[in-house]
Amino acid sequence: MKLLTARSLDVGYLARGRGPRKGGRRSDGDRLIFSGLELDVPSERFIVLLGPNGSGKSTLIRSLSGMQPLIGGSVEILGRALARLDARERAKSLALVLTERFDAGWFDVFDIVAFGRLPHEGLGDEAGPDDSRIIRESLAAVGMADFERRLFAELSDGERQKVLIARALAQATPLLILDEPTAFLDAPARSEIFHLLRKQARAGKGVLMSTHEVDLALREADEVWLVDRDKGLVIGAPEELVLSGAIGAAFDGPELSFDAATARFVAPSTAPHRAIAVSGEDAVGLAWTVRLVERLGMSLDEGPKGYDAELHVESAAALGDRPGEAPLAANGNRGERRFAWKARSGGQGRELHLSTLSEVEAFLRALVSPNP
Amino acid sequence: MLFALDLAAGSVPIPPLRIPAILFGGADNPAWVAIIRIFRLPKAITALVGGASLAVSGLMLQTLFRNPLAGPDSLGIGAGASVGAGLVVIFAGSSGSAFLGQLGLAGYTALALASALGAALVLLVILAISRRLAGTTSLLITGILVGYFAGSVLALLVFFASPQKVQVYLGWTYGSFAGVTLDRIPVLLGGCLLGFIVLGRSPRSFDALVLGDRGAESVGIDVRRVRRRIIVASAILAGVVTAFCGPIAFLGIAAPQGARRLFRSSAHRMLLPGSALLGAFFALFADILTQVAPGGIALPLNPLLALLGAPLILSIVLRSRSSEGRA
Repeated sequence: MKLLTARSLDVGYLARGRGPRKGGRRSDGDRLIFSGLELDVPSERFIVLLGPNGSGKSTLIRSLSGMQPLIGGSVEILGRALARLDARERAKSLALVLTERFDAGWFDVFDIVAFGRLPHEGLGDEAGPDDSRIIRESLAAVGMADFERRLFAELSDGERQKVLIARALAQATPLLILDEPTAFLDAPARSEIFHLLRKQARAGKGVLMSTHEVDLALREADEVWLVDRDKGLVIGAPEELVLSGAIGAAFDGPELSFDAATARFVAPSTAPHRAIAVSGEDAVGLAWTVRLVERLGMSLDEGPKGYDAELHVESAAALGDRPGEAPLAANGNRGERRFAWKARSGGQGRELHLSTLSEVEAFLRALVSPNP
Repeated sequence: MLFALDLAAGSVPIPPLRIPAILFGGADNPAWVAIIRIFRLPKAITALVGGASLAVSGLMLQTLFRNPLAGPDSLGIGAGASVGAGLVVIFAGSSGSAFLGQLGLAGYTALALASALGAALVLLVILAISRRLAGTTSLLITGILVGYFAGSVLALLVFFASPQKVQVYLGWTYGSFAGVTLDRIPVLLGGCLLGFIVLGRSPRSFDALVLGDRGAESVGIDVRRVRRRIIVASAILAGVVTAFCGPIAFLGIAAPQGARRLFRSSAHRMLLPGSALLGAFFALFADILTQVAPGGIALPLNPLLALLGAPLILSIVLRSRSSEGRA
């Protein structure tokens, strides 16, 4: 089911920003960011609006949610023109999480989430039992059930963001729109927000969020709306956008380029070229050895004179079979993995046995500036 | 109880225990009855209503500006109200009536109305400026400047007024609950009641303003309407009280602060009655203090309030640096 549709939508800023203008008249001073957009947000879909900072993501989000006048075209929510809905009707069909920060005073987490029930109750009313149940369910859905009576102002950034999402869920709307909910958050909190929103989409909501988190967006989104400075908005499945080179085109700069194979941004190497052959059977050991090689600015591809060195990764289990070599000391971390490396540099044929990554790093660095 | 104490305090001491008897008839001392009925009862009622009104006005301004230091006086709204009141006096002056003297009921109403309009005008100017300048400090500076501006206009008005009126006017700027006689109280009460009614209907929509303008809008609040309601109500409250009692400082900031801390709440369902109560309490308390000076002299109200209020505001400023303004 289509929850939100935009037809021939023009987004930007009016020359003298004074409300929407009638019938497509446009003055020269208008700053158009997008034009002729055709957009759909169906239910059960997690859409991520992706683009570099300052590319107009927030402007588009504001236009789609009725916080900013449209320059042209139309936005409909559940078949009704957004501009015709009053604030309360809009709040019943569309829940928003915004970047605006605020001082919550003495309001606790429950109070803040309870604001999500306002469109459904009379303004003088207190939250009834039904509202309380919905508020608690919303808090549970974001994993904040235990924080009900904590002061909002005393929460961490990640916790606040989850409470604000709970507030949006408490509005019980089919549509959820979020503007950069992962800004200011640390890496685990960012992943958590993405998972949580995907879960909401699976449960039936249409979710649209803007972010500049490329890797998470590509992993979690059902659909990506990509802001490209030259081509406007490019829409597609995340995998599709990577393979078509659209992601790279949108984000590449002089300092970084997008690597389609690893879905990461890589800097062009400035170190003297060295080619390293890396082999091994353990996927994890191999992956992180490769990362180390790349971090040092070395190449995995064979150079004109062949490889400068070879590295072979073995898991510690294989190592343990061999007498005379001590496995690494366990540090007690959960999920710790231990490896050993066999290294051979091209010039000299002697095989080195290395037992830690820092030894491997030292070995690789020595290839560039040999130090006796 | 404070109300009774306020009735009792004054240059002619009257035993507090005799107050009920005096109020409800059956008193034996006609002089006491006269003093209470004519002077002290109106004054105590004015203090009660005026204190509550300034406190509620201050609370709503703090909500509107999302700023713990907003208040009728710190934003220059009291000054705006004074200009409005001053203009009425100048026009009334041509017909020869003394300042706040021989105005009839229509005169008081016009005075209250002009005062509220002056307050609203200043409020709108400050609101427009505060949209461009965020932050506590810039808002306060704006308030001070607007206050100076209104003060200068007032000073010019006074310059053209007769010396006799200037004398009365100067007394008025010290702030006093004593200038309201029993027959003027309906205007004061009516105006303040109007303000309270406008505010009392939708405390939740004021709560939602804490989310920010867009945040409040996203949960279905018509922010512009709520804002309009706050401006009208707090201008009426501050304007009417200023018209009758002169510009009264600090009460409007201190009472809501106290209510927030006392009830550990930001909900207007609690804060509206809480601030009103605390404001009335402060006003009565301050009015009693003005009477306790030795030698039967009534001290001016405003310097007294400033003496108490200035350190309080300093403590809020210092505190808002460490905690996030949860004052």
